[in-house]
Amino acid sequence: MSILRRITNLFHRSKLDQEIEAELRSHIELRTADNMAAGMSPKEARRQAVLRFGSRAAMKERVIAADAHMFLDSLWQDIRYALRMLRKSPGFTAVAVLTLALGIGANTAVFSVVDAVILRPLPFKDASRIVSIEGYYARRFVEKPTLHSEWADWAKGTKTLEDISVYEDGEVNLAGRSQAIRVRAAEVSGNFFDALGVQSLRGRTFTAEEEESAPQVALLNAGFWKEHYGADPNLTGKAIELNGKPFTVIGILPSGFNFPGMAQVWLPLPTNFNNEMFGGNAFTQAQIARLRSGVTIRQARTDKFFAQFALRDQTNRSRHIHRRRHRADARRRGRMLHSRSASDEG
Amino acid sequence: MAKNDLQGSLDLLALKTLSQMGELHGYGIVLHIQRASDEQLSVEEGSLYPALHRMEQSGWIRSEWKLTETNRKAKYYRLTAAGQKKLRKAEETFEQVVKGVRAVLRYAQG
Repeated sequence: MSILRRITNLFHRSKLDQEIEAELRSHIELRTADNMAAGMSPKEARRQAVLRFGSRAAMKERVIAADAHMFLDSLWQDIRYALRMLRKSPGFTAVAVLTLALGIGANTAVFSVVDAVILRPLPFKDASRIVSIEGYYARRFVEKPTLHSEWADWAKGTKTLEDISVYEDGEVNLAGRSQAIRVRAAEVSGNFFDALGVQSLRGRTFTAEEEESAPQVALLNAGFWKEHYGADPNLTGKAIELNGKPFTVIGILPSGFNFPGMAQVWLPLPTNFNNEMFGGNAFTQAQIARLRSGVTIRQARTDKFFAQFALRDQTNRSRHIHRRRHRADARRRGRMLHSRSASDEG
Repeated sequence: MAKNDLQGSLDLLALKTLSQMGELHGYGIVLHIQRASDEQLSVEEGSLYPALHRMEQSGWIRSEWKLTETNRKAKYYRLTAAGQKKLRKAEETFEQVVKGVRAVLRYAQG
């Protein structure tokens, strides 16, 4: 009962404040009246009364502190009582602790997923402007590959999108060290990092020339760089061996960045899309781009350029532009690529 | 010993005053203690109100706003049943403390 009252006091502090203030005022008035009755002038009577009291603000604080002190005291008593009771019935305690542990665990797990997939914005600059472009064969629900010539046409023709970039992900062998390992990797067009607004921590990202000539250069994720190269500051400019070929490391990317498909290593995608690093398909199936400023996703979907493209297309294809959650996308893509390369090999 | 220190005796004095005088406001408690102790004890206002508030929260006393004889508003305190019980205990404890302290003093003198 009194605990309830104390808790309500916590919420009604201003009311308590007024109550104390009124009581103190009444006290001072009573003493002033007595002082006057004893022959003091009204001014002196009041001065003496106030003087005896000391600081009113400090006094109010003390009353309220008495409250808080009692609350903490009884809280501590309750806690000790609860602990004693728990010790008395270990079976109940175990069940309660287990229930809590499972509950908290399940909550945390679900929240981490929801947070990563839905709540947290993509860790990219102006993430809401990023779109992915997907081609499907209508009716067959199968993704349509994109040829380099098609991509080049888009880049020249569209007024709604910019930085249209392509990428493909897979795995490569990293050798030339004590032990060869499989590493998640991606081949990307030169404007890929512009589209995502990602900058290198050290060195640089790919240039347009590198996209044309596709030299053997590579970018590494900072986490990977630390784990496998001890964050060697002299690694940039040196070559690492991927699938038996030397690639010169030209830059390090932020450790949180691993798009697409949990990639640790990025290589330039050859102009003809002939990404032989991952099995030699002469096409790609993944494109991302940025909406030009002032363009909405709706406008981009009805882009004349894409309509034209669909008209020219004789095989009953349609194209969609989707705003996408790239993290989830990356995972899915990783899977698709696996199954495709598996069937290719088989 | 902590409960038998000055703060404890202020509680005791205030509770006893209320049990003797029935209903009284804070200022009245100060005056009564002063008078009843032949001006030997003077209660500091700065300590009295926190103590009254604490005792009210503990349910030992109850308060009510009323008018004084001179038509001023004042908060009157009154002892509750729990307060009566607390007072009896506090008196016992105090007697023991006084007995104990006196015994020590006599021992030192003797």
